[in-house]
Amino acid sequence: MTYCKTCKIKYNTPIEKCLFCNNKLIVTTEMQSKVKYKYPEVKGRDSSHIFIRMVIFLIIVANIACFAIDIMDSEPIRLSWSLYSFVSSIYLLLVIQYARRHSSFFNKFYCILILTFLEVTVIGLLSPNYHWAVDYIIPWGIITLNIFSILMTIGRKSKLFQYAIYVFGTSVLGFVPLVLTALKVTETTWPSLTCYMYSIVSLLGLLFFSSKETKEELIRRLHL
Amino acid sequence: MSEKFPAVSKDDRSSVFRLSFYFKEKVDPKILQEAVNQVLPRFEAFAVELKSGLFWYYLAANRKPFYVEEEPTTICKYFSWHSNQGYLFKIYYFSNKITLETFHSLSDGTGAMEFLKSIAYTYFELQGYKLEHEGKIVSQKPHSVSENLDMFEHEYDSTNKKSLKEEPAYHIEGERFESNYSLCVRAQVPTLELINLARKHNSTVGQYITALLAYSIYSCSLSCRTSSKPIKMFIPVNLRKFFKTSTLRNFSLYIKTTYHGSETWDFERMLKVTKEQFEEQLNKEDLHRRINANVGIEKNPLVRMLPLFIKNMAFRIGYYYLAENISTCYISNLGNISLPSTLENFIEDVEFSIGGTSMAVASVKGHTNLMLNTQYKDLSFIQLFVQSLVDSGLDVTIDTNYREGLDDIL
Repeated sequence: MTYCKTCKIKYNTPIEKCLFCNNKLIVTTEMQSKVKYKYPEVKGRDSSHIFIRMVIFLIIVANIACFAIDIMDSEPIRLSWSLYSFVSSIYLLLVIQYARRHSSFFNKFYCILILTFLEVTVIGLLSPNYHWAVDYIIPWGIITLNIFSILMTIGRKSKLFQYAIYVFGTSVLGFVPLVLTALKVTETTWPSLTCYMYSIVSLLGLLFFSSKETKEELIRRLHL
Repeated sequence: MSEKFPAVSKDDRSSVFRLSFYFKEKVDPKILQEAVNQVLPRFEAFAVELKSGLFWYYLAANRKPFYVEEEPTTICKYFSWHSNQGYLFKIYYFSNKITLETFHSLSDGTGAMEFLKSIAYTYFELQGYKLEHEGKIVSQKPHSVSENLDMFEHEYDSTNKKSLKEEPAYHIEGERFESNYSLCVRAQVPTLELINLARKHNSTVGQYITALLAYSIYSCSLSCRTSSKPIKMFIPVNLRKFFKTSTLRNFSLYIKTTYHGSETWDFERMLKVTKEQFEEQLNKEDLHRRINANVGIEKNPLVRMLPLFIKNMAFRIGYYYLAENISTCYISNLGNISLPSTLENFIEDVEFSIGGTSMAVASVKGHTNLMLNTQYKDLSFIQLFVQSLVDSGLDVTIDTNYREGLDDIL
């Protein structure tokens, strides 16, 4: 044990100077050599966030440059090709954000897949003819997500319990292309109808093959 | 309501508190892990994982194996339950110390201490020692459904609420340590001497240390005297003393003491005001009305209808205005830790910490550990607090996680 004469405080930790007055501590007992630190040592700063900041900064600078060049080159003044790079930059930032999130690998992969389909759809909507995005990408993207979710449930019963909410969610999303078709947004209707029929089958499959626990879990998740 | 803690938590606001036992020998991580996995099924309040639904978070049973880890350098560090097998607590080991760090959503200090005591008891039993629990170890008692009761829901009465509106509090200013590091200064004093000191001033230990810490902050922070925001100390109260229950889940609520910095204070006056404010708020009716107001937010139909991702944004903003912005410092007193005599022979010391800028108090084996945490490099208010105890005649021993050269790293 050590002692500070100025503050009249004992120390039970192997530091050499008083925390408060910075005076050298006096060793009071022969047990001082056996006094150990009771907390792990700080190893240094975490510098991973600096790299992320640099990436974000470079993306912002690149987009500002793209906007400036696009505006200067166009007559009348408007944004055209730079919007594609802007959308792709937002996509990249969101992917980095989701990849760094503290969640399960499946959840991250699922979210990044959704972001990818959304990005492709937005790029399609920016183009003169958006139908390839609305008519094909949206319905087939939803079907792909649903198939991916179902594949994760194959195997143990616990997997169906864990991933049933993803299957349910994408099955419900499968009604979106039908709504777009009803609103006459789509030109080619068969992909949307396929997606809608597939979602119905998927929901029925969930109903028939889920255990009682899985159904209760779904009800809890949806707060029904 | 308590499920929201993880949702609003992040690196600089972990919503985690810690309890530690110091053994008389080095910890064996394998035996510790086995002890935790043996005890966990008995503690339903801890054997859970947080799940997100469409409108709300909820806790579901968790049967995955639990893994202990080496203690990190940051006290009360934020962790993601996703990378922790879904569990909302961590068990660390370092040299002869075991530490439980848990989100407040699972339990309060009382419930967490019962869990840690059971782990320590099982740990030594697995080593082959014969121990007597003396009725003080929950894992050795028959299971009771009441241990997992959500008392906030149970006691909720929609007809009798109190307004939750709070004015913003003064916050200590200064240069902070980097990477959300919290420096801890543990002042150990003989328990009897501390009780006698408090009695000399006709107060309880809780009232005395609250007033002393507030006075230390007031004396050392000149900016608080020109600030319109008062110094507000938040003190959690164990509601089990007012509402009979054996629940191990979180059942605590804060009371606060308020001191306007623009007024002239001396310690005696601060202590007098502290005692008055404690007596005003420490009554069952007032606490019940505050429980009703807290739970009432969740029951509001407009709030219930909002999807979870919108609620999360609102929780983060709301947490700032209803929790973070309205307090200067937290003080938590766990009181005397009662251990079976056979287990006490293996335990050297107990530690309680709530991280951030706070003070946490726990007593065991005749001494009291006052754990002062700060995120600021300026230790003047801690120095004044400790010096006041020394000047009052107390024998003070300091332990700290500070090491020479820390300022250069952080």
